[in-house]
Amino acid sequence: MASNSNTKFTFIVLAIAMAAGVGTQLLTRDSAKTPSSASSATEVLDTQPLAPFKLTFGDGTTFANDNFADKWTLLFFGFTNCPDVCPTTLATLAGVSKQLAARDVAMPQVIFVSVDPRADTAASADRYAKGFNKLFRAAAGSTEALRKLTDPLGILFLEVEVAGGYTVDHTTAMTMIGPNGALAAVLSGPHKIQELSDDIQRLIQ
Amino acid sequence: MTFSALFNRPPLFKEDRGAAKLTLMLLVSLLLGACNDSVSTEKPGPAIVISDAWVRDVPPQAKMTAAYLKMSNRGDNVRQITAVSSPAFGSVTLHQTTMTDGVMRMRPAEDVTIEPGGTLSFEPGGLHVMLGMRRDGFVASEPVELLFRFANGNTVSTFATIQAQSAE
Repeated sequence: MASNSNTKFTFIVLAIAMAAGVGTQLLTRDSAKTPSSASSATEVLDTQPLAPFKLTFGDGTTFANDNFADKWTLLFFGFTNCPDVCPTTLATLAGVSKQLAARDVAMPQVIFVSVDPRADTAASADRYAKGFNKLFRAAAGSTEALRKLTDPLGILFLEVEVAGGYTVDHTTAMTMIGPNGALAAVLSGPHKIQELSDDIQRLIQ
Repeated sequence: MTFSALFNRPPLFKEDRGAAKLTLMLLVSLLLGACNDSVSTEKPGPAIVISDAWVRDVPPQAKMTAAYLKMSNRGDNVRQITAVSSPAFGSVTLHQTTMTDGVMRMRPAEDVTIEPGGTLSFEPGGLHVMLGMRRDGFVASEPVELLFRFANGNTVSTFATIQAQSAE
């Protein structure tokens, strides 16, 4: 079931990426290279840097393509009023950060991107993310500005009215951006600290 | 779609420790039964038993968090949860997270019932108790009381510990 939904998700990511004109190829690893532990990562062979986008960091500076230069980046999309999946994922990422530090592996920069422009500001999202780990950053922007980043990555988000307010349906997969500014991998949930640490270590080494 | 239909889906998480625990409990109770000459088939104790309750520790800036637990029905009747409350939070509701093609959807859970002999797992990425509007005076390190009201008029309470992660 998990692998089936991963496959489906991968298909959607690919379909959207291709529709957006991004040349994306799946790297099919042969069985000899497949790690023994279950993997949440779908590696993407993509050398084309992401299309230009412009969002705002919590400190008021601009978050744009050049922030990916010379380092690995983990992007996670969510919203601060999310009680279940977003805190679960950020707590897991805080665990990954500790795990990689213990292995002497550099943790990629983590950027939490709010997909709730109605309730979150870049500053409030940043305080929220830093509550899980001081090094995490957050960014925000208008729906239009967000789509310039989310569409090519295959990340979906949608505000939905529910009794007593609204919620935001969103893709829970994390995306990993390489130092070349191109999509390197999609990390599908449910995320586990050990598995995610292994995947990230394998991707960046 | 009725809510109970949602429980027929495969678990979101690979491990099903609840089932393993239940099997262990059954084995232990069989062994205890073998050492004991009791012929009673009555199940003593409360019909609804809540265990492993915890609330995710979130930064003070977070307006929302969630409680997770296991709830077993040891009685003979189907039980329906009609309301949940907590002295520590002003807004307490049952929510269900579902994943469709990698997209998370969270909706209020209605008509949450528990069959006789059944166990409901409230877990990350699934059914959970959404907690909002933290009351003044709430001490983050103290266990959070949760009160479940049932359709038969009974209320069952439990204390949830504050944790950053699931203990499992």
